Amino acid sequence: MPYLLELAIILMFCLAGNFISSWWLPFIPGNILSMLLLFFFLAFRLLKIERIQNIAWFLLRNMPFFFIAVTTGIVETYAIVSSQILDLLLIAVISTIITLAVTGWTTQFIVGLQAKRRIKRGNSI
Amino acid sequence: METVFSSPLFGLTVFVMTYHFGAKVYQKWPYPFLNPLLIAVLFLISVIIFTPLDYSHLKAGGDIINLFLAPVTAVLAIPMYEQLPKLTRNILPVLIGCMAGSLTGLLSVFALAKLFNMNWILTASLLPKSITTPMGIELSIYLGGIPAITVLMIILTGLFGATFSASLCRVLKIKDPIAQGIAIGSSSHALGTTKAMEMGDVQGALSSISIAMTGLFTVFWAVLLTFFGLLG
Repeated sequence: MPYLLELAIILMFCLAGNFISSWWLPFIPGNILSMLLLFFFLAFRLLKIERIQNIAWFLLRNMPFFFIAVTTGIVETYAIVSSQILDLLLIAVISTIITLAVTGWTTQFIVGLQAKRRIKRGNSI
Repeated sequence: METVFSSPLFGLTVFVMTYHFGAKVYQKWPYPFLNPLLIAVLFLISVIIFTPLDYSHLKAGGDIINLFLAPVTAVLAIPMYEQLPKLTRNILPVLIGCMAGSLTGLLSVFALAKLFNMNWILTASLLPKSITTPMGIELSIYLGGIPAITVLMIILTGLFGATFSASLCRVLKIKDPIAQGIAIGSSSHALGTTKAMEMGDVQGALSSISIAMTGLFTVFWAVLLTFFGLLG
């Protein structure tokens, strides 16, 4: 019984997110809105995590399974990909390295700045 | 006979069994490149190519599974909620790092795709490659890409991150553990995070916080850039 109630609550959030997206915020994907909605309900204690945790963790733990049908769909689009598969891989790899570098350097700079301010504040006291 | 093979029940059974097989293989040999989803999909592709079984037989069952992409995306709110205390402690590095990372991820793919003369469908499919899969599928559809290509690129990006991110951090002189974690999480999502967890507790925690954050910022930038006509 509680499992079905948990599923019902989660599904209602999905429905609400997609409803809001299609009526008022068409530029934000519906499922992302559902997620934000659920997050705010949890963060502001409007919904206790216990009310949904069993089904939620079942979905989270088995998450990759739910991508299997979408991914197998690659057989239908193979003609579009086949000629540029190497380009796709190359761009993915180069972009991942650039992203890692820029994120790492930016964050390292911020952390260094914070540490410096902390030391300064410590000296002035 | 034909009706049995094209019923939703048939496709659903095949998908569940195949994924279970992939998970078992990974359990036995836990190497990142033996990713359960990747094994299951490669197995299905070869079955479709070499046997009379066709993708159309699996489609009805697949549609049922795809229905669950909505709740799977929604419940990503839960790890985010549970990491809230850790997030508030490192709010500035995480926010700025993930904002920079998500924008760099999008723009670098966009620029490289232009350089390689790639058409928009493939570019749109590749843009979400650094974010967590359910959000990536959503963004891919939003931008006009093909979700199947997106998922494969997300897995391959993750595998690349899981294999090379420790050495990349060394070469690129990213030495701070907080910076390492955020850099890995925002460039190669959950699969890269497995490597970050090996590197240390701080790296692992920050990397997993960065997954959802980078996903949200990537969607935010993509929506913004599309709105101003800069993407596409």
